[in-house]
Amino acid sequence: MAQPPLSDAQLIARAQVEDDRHAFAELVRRHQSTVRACLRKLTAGNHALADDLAQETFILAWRNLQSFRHEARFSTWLYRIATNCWLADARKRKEELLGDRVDELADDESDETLGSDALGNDPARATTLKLDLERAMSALSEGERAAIVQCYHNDLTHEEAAYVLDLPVGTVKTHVLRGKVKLKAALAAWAPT
Amino acid sequence: MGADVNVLLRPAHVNAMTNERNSLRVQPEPSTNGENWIERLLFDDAREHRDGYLADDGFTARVMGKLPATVAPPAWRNLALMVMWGAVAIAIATVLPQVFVDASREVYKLVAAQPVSLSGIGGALLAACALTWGAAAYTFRAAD
Repeated sequence: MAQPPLSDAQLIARAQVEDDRHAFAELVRRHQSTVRACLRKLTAGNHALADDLAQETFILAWRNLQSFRHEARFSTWLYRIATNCWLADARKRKEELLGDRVDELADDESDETLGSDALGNDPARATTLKLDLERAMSALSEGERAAIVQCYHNDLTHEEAAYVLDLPVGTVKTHVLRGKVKLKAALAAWAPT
Repeated sequence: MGADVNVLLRPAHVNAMTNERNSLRVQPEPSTNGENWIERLLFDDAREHRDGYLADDGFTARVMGKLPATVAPPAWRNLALMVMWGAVAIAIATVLPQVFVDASREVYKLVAAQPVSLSGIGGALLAACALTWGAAAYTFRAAD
């Protein structure tokens, strides 16, 4: 009879107490998709940078695993590390203009299925809207972008997002509100008539 | 159809995590009225983002390859630890001889006051062995 898969808590305990690298590898396998996707949103679709930051995230998670006290879900803790990595990187370098990636994004059909309902009635329109949304997101401040990604794309509550971003809950809500106002203005052409 | 295929291609644990997250979701789906269109846009983009799964494609292997290597302690470390503890015990006995003598005298009185038997001697030896083994096991374990 096949053994049921170990829970995240069991894998973490093995990695912490027994220095079990196989357990940590399983944790990486389970969470790599969500962490990489989160970073792709934060980096405005820069896949290479997102994967580099994701690697850095998991290496930092390994180094600091002893300090994880289950005060939040493991995935939420990973988002916190990932967001800090992204912030540190964004402050070190100039952000590339999204315009350089127009062709790359238009040709990229490998990792996301374009919906045809709310995002547009045809794939071409959906691609354009997606591009405009990414451009508008990249124009937000770091705090606003991070808050919207955590609350919408990672589906965290405001309290969880506050933990990830290390900000008061009120500040997170303000960032989300201001971010949406800016997005609404930037995407006014897409507003329903 | 695309969403169904996506679910089938995802590992089982990812589907389980997605189902758990969906059951815990606190934000209701926004309505499609005119004022809420940005909320709707973000919601739909986020749902598409969450439903997507990024294949590992060697990512985990690359991460594990970059983890810092485990540093094995040198072979002489365990012996050095035991010698150090022994030296500490001798130093204490040397620095506080009177206290050591008094304590030994009291222990002897306690032991001597009891009838001596082979089983008693055996029990005392077993206790001494157990203490010594426990100390050695702790020393070696801490060294790992």
